[in-house]
Amino acid sequence: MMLGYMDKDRTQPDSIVGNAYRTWLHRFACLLVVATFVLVASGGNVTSRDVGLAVPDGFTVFGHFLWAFPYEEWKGGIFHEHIHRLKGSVIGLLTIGLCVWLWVDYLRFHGRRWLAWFGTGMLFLVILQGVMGGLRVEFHNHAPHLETPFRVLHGVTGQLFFCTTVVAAAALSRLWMLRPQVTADDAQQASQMVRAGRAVRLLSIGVLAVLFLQLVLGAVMRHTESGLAIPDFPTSYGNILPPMTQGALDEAMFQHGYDDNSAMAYTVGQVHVHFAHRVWAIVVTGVILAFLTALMKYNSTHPALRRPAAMMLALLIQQLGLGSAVIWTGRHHDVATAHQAIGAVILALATLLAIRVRLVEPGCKAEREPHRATVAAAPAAAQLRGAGA
Amino acid sequence: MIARRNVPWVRLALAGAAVALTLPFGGTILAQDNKPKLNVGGVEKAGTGSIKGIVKVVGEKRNRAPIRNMNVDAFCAQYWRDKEQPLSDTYVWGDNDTLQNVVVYVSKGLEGKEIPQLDKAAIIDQVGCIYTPHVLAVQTKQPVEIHNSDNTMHNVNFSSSGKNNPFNEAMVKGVVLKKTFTEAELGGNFKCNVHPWMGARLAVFDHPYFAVTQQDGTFEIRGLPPGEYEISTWHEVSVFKSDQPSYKVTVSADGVAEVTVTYNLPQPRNR
Repeated sequence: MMLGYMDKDRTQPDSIVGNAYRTWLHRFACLLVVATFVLVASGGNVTSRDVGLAVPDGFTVFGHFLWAFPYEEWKGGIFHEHIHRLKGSVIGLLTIGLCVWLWVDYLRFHGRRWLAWFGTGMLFLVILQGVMGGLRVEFHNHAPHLETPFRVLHGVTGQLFFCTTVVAAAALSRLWMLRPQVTADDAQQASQMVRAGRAVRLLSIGVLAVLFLQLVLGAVMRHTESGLAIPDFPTSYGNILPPMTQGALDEAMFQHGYDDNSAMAYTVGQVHVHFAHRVWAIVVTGVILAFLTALMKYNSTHPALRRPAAMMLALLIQQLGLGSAVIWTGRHHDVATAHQAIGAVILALATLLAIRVRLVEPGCKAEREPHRATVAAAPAAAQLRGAGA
Repeated sequence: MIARRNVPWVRLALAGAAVALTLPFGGTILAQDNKPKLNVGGVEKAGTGSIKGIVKVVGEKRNRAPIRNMNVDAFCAQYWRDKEQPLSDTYVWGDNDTLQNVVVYVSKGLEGKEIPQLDKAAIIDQVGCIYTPHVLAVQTKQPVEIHNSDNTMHNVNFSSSGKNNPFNEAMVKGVVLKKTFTEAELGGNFKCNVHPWMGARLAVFDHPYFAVTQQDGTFEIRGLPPGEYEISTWHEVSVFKSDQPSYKVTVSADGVAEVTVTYNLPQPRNR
């Protein structure tokens, strides 16, 4: 039971004890997933409130060490930015913890080497992300032409790191360790299983690709202050297509009227970025729906697929609503933050499903009791590992 | 005792002399309360003329929204507790259908003429968690002082709409940031990210012939050598359009050319 490892005598032969399910290691990875989500949402909050530069020094806080900044000064935008930095440092520590634990698991308990290296990669990524966050602040004063690219990069890398935490947690999950196998009754069924598997796996990658591009478009839109470059929805300045030239845009902006958000003089480039995000949302919706449909045909019974799929569908609907609400509320910061955070969860679910469709075979059903499932699936898992899987 | 009694008079006399000396040699024109008259620009000089005018608005004026979330900082909330609630300053209507915070400047006609340099510091202050003034116009290389009269922390985050260097610096009470801007630009942006409602705009010109309209919507640009000029205007709400891109004026020695600028407002939008 050291380090919370699953008792080997009940589930695994001694020969594969190194690849056994590590209860507490998995739980720790899940904690990192949740904590990273909070950090990603907090970063979204900082951008939505436009308080990213409330603390003008990138690597200290008004000259203080991060954890020594006096609480009385946590006010207004400083509060949100400082909280974001503190959360970032906590995630850094948790990632160090996971990385060390994975190496200990590999070196002392015959764990997986690739996973230890993956943890090391995560650590480098989180350090890089922290440095980019600091540089993004410093560049405002010292290299303004690099500020916006680094803001976008920081926003995108944060969500990529979030995805890596999901991969780590999935790799440490019971499902990954003890892949349940089913055997086809005949050759035709086996062939169908292979075809169905290929389509759904391809689509799972397609979903990740379209979501990633949408994430980049969203980050560019947010960090170039283009969130209200088209101020109406579902129309664009009253039409299907937005103005394509600066002259037409100026005229359309005049026709559309003014309010307290009208101080921004938008360029046609900002309008195009905004419009691309809207159009790509339609593509994302289509690809996700196609994927979920294929997934349900592939295996609609296993909870490891069914639950995240249902959640993804619900969040997709919510996300479309939030995207609309961002416009209708004049980009209210809480709505914009929710839109960014839900987008991150959808990307994380897509990552999880892309992994799980490679772990769960068609026709495979989950056992209700975990221990019995573990025992029943152990021979198949042992067989797989014996084959070097 | 005599010396003590004399001190205020000496100080007053010196201050009066300083003000009196400032006016003939140009620089910021001061109002009776000793604050700079932002709607009066230029450099007074014998044998020159001036341009006087007013900026009117035509169209439906939208009510300005109150600034919300001031309670994120106890100081800001406390400052406004017993005062009239501050309103968004993106657009500010003046008296009698006029528009405030319009930058009026000479855009043509100064070629080949001697350009005086303003050397008195232009000041933008943070008072009650609001920038005062909301629009600051300065000449290139003119000293600019950013003050903080508030007993709270601000950051001053300046982004240029042109080629001036951006900066972002923290300001506790009493700190004065001294800056100069070397490139002409319209629409530079001061922002406080600690208090995200705080914003101010900057206009920089390579000459001193500019003014910013205030409460009564009027402006005056003094000290122009006789000749033909064009004046243009700028307001931060880009959809507010003046009826002409520029206005031609002829300035004669000791004469006053008059201009009326009309801004056509688009329809107000309600969310």
